[in-house]
Amino acid sequence: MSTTKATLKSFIEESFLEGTARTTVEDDLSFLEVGLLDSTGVLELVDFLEQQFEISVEDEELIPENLDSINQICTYLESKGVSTG
Amino acid sequence: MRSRRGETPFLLGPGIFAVVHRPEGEAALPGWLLCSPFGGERTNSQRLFVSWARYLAAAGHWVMRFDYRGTGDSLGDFEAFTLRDYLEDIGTAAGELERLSGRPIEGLLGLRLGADLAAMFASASDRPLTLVMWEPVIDGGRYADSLLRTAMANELVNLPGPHRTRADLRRQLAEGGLVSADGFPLTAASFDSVAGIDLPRLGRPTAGPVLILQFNSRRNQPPKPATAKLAELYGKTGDTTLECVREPNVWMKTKLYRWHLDSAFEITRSWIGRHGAAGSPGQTAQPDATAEPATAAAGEHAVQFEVEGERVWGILHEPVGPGVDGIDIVMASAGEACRAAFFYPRLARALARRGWRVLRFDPRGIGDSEGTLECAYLSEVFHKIESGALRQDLSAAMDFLDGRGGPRQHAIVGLCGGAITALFAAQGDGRVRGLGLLDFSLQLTPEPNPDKQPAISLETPWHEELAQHRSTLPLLKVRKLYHAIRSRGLETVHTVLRTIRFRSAASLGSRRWYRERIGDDVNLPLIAALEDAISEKVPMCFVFAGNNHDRLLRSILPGVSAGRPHAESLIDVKVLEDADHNFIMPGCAERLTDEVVAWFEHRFRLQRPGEAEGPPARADVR
Repeated sequence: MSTTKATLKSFIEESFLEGTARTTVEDDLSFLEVGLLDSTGVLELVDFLEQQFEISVEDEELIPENLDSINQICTYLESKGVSTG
Repeated sequence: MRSRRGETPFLLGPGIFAVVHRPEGEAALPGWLLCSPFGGERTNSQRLFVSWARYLAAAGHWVMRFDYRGTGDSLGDFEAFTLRDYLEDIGTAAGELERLSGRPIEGLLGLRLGADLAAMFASASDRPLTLVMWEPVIDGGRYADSLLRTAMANELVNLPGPHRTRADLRRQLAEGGLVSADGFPLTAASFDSVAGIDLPRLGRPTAGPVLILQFNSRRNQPPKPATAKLAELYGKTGDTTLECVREPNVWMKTKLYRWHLDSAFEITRSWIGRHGAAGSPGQTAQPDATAEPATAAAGEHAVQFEVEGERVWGILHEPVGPGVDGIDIVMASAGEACRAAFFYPRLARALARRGWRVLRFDPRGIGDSEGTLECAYLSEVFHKIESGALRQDLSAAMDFLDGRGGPRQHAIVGLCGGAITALFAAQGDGRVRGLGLLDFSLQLTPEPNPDKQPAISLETPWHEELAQHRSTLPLLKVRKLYHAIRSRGLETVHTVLRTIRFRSAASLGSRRWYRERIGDDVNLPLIAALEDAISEKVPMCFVFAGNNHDRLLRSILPGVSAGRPHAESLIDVKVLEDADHNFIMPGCAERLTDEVVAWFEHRFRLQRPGEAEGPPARADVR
């Protein structure tokens, strides 16, 4: 597993699994579909991405296609020039 | 009305809900006015302010906290006010605190946007006020943008795409529309008033000392650059302290049940002790011991009652116009949220306008109420609620209402955890005549820590679990029969007969049957409470938010209805499409309010005074 993916996984698991039946997050799990993220969680995730990877998440990038799973976030980060290898 | 702690809640002037905390001990130090954050941050930090106010009063200070008009328990609609109005409210509250304490206030403490408002008020004051700014908003423009981003995140999570952009939302505001951020409707005027804040441009707000406190969730995190720059700017012209504390950002939704922030409280209190103006010349006036708050006339007022020796707080809404005779409505708080969260004030006022007396209140450990739930995480709080831990609080609320006008009957309305508590409270309490159960779940919240014992045991008895395996069945039947008769005698015959029934498939309404439909995390005691409510012929209105919860309820209706032929006539299930769990999306609170009020009107319309027929008996309801 890449460092980026491991970092993301660790953040998601630490921040959003509390109070759910899950103990881990699969790479392609849809956060919104299983109710892992509420609107505060989305903002928390965006804040984490901006700080951790030193990127700016633009409004038009605030869409499920970019943020709804670990795999999608990795693809999105690559599009922002972050190496996820 | 004054509580044991010397806390007096009241409605001030134009409908500002305020609570004055009288100082404990002999010192009677000067007063501090607490300025709340904005919108959802105010809701999230409500108990933090309660906790801090009690802490400061225990240290000998007069303290007042209040809600800006249109927020919390204050009167008015959120969208009708701007920060200019909030500043007026600060002035009104400060004046009242000075009148009650008999001396000028010492300072203001504000959190987030409340810190900015405190600074703006201090800046316009002709006195050198002491100022404590907890995590101030440095740039109002960025903060206003974050409100729009919150609105976008709300849409992203709750609505199918395409979602609106920030430009779309700005356009909507410019065209006179409302934009809802976490359920708080912004207007162009309120948005602009927030966006216009620029703390560095305001300059040092007071000649008095200033403490800026930054909350960091991680250890040894340096101050944010903008905060450090503000402190540096202030420091050029006066006494300024910048401190960082490792505390959670409780004004955001966190997963913690923690409101006493040790290091923030201790650092602030000792700073006030060193920098405050206590005992300084010009502040020697004595408080008027008989002074009581200037309470405004209104149809709603703060009340207190006891639950097992602890004081709980609520707001009682008196009916407007002719009352509905015989039934009061109690609103049970949702989870850890206080009585003023979400749509609660709106719904209470709508019901009061239709003639009902309504009490919305904070159970122990929530909102203003005393006590603690003895939890570290919110998931533990939810687990306690799901086990019925707050049913006693609802029972006490009904006792309180009974005590104000003779024994009455009650309906209970609650969202999520409030709905769960309502069902438990109805169990075996013949006073409960109706239930409005809003988006609740039949599933248990998982335990936060696997090492901890569950709040209640929902384990299936060993004999039932094993009885599901045919090979062990004969032996277990005999063994259970022996133990049952030995321990409980003939009274258990019914139970025994059920046990020895051959069960190749789960029988309708059995634990196993419910598990097959809901899952292993099914809340069986809650289902038992639902069965009891049906047996007792309590009409129920379930309103769901277009999620999976309504499907789960419908899946078990045959089970809870078995042997109860009247069940269908008692249960109404409604689904609000495109609604979210807390009904904060635009228009959801209004639609929900209409549904609930209409249901009450329909179910209990015969009980309006002047109509020919009297109140229906439980069995008579439709």
